[in-house]
Amino acid sequence: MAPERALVVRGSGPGGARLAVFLLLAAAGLWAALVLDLDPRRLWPGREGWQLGAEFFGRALRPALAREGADLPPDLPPLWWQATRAAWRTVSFAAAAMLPALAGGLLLGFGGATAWWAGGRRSWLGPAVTAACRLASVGLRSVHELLWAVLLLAVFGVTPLAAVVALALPYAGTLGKIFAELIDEAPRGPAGALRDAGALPVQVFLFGLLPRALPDMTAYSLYRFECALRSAAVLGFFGFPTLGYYISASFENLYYGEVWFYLYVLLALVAGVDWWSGAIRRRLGR
Amino acid sequence: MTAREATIRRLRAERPRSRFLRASGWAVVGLVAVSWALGGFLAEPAWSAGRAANLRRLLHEVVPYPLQGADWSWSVAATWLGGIWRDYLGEATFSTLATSVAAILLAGSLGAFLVPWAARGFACPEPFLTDPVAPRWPVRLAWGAVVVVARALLTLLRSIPEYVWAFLLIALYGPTAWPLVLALALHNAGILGKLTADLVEHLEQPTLAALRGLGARRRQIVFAGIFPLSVNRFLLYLFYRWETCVREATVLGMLGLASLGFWIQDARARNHYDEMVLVMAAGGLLVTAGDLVSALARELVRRT
Amino acid sequence: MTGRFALADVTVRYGSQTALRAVTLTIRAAERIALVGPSGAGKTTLLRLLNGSARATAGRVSADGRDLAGLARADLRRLRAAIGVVHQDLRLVDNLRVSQNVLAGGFGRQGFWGSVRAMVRPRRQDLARAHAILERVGIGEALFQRVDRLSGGQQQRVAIARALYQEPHVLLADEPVASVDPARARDTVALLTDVCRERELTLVMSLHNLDLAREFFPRLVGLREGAVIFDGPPAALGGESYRDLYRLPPLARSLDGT
Repeated sequence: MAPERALVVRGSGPGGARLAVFLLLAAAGLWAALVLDLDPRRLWPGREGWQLGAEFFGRALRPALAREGADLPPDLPPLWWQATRAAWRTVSFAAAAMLPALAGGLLLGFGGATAWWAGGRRSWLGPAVTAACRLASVGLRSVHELLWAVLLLAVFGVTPLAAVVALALPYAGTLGKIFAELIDEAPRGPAGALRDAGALPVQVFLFGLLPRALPDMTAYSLYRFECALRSAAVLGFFGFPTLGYYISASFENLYYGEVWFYLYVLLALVAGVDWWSGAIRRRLGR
Repeated sequence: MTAREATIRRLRAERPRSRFLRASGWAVVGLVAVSWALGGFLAEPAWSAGRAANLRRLLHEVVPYPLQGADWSWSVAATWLGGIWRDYLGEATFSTLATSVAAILLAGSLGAFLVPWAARGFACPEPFLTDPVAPRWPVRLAWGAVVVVARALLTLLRSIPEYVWAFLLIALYGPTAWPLVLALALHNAGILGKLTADLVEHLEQPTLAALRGLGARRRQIVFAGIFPLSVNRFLLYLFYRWETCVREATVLGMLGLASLGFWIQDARARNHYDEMVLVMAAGGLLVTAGDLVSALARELVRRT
Repeated sequence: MTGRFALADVTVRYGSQTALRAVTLTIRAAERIALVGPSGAGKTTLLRLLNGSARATAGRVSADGRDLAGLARADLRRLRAAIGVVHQDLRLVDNLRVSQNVLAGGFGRQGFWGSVRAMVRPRRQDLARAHAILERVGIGEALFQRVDRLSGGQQQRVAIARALYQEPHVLLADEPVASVDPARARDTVALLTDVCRERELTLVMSLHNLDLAREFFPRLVGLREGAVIFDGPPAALGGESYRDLYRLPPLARSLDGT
């Protein structure tokens, strides 16, 4: 390949549309800065903030390995045990929530796809089911899991079930939306071949269409599990006994070393799941 | 057993399968089962008289205050809504939107800045050259360390949830909009940085190698090669993450700073559940509108 | 079904485009026919008519004397189960195993639970039949491989095996060798014609390659711009009809856009 040819990078000219996007972004940023009164000088925290910041981030490399503070009651469990229990609750909330979330997501995803009725006999039923499922997905998704938690707290109180339901509702919506898109993007060729062989619509859908979407659906579900871990940790700020609860408690007691210990446990959990799902994705060829 | 069945049995025994995937599948099943068994989610009956009463009370209090116990009237509801909108809801909605916009732009800049250090094909002695003259080992080691540090930083940024970042930063900054914007920006910079670094690692190598072969500097490769080749996907990621920024921006205010979340928490503290649900609904509409705008913008970018 | 077809004065229009015009054609049981002609001549449409995927705008298509236009859903399903189709782009489910793809050929005669069983835990005799067919097409060892790990040639044989697993009376093949190298194209056409001779299946194959059609088929049907312009044994396809088949449309007509 002649180097001159190679130098012609495709799409290198700033096309009109792309330039417009960038200008729009810049304008939006300016508007946001004005609305929020974002002063770049304030990005440098004040002296007090600076002191606190130095104190707090200074402990990043020296996380506490045992409880901080004096005059601790003797029956308090050691820090590592507390963290392990909190980590387990974080994981178990996330894992437990994924079960109903997946069930709901599959239901909404199958219903929300157009592939199971497109190309069949014309009927109002297919489009109606699709529209209803997509609407339900959008509705569930548009309310943040913490807000679901606030609503559910009013009914269930601080119970593990409230946390699981709060996570499961918006996650079912998100999974449903993405599943529907993935099923619709799967190649339709195999489905057509099965229809030619005389297969029933349900056979065509389950064995001609779905298998091709399944690796991507698995990969996305694993990513949502990683998100569920983070969300479960944050639910701790609302009184559930996950990692977030101890992060906020230790921070308010000014035990910054403990905060970093809990943060590193959360980091290890998330990074571990991230590595695991990456390994699965590679083996699924995605 | 016929010869054919013996052959089939042999072929089945020899079929390629991934132990890792099989083990992962069972691990997932086991984890979910153990979670449900030991998590205590159903320790008490999910539904009880007390909870039914809670739900009834909640449903009663969700009705706009002037209409509780009265006949439904659109004009009263509209007056109530208008009052709250002028009071704080309108301003909070716009500041939530502005927070998400400022955050995603900051996240994009920060993430893009970290990309060249985290992309393995670029952060090496000779970017994109497939068979470079082997440099001395300290050089290779130094570049390897750069990538490890940059990737670790990105992992740290994205592993810590926005809410935790905001919680920590509020203590530093006090009551300005910065902690919210920064919290969203840091978390999303981690995600955008990782996605874009992976993208740059998978760019067409020959074009970029040719640039380097012509003696282009690193900076020139970034602007003449990497940027034009990856900008569209980067924008797609940016809009996709913006959707989640809007979602998160609505709740971050619950930590006590001006966004919709602040007013949700405020109404909850005052036991005004009608207002709380109204603000939540406004947040839901904002999120849905954000999804729509993002979908449109992504379609626009895809066309270019 | 015995594999007899009759097209009487069939016209197919898609919107303003006419894919077939006034085609009359009789296909006898166990006959082997090659459809030849330039792209866009209507070969694919003709194949789609035979298994009820396309409907005649005018005229009548019948299989075993039954009009395809009036078929109920269940009858159409039975008809399709008796007709195996091999597509140019194979249309296999890439990330399933060969056995699953082949067994999917049996869906037309199975209920829902039967097909679930065939996909998850197939019966021994079904697997044995699938293996026998795969052996016949030369890839018996690939029974439990994933399709996307096979070479293009092997994948094509999986698609043929899936069609044969239907135990069809008719095999339709739409340009099965359009995107393969010449040596393999010859092998594939030979395999398909051999199998159909052994099992006395009706074979209708559209082919771009006239040499292969002449070598392997006792009857050629030439299509051009949706009309049959040749129908007979290869020996009768002399220089004149050959030129007719592939001649460019007259300049005036193409300028009219008709």
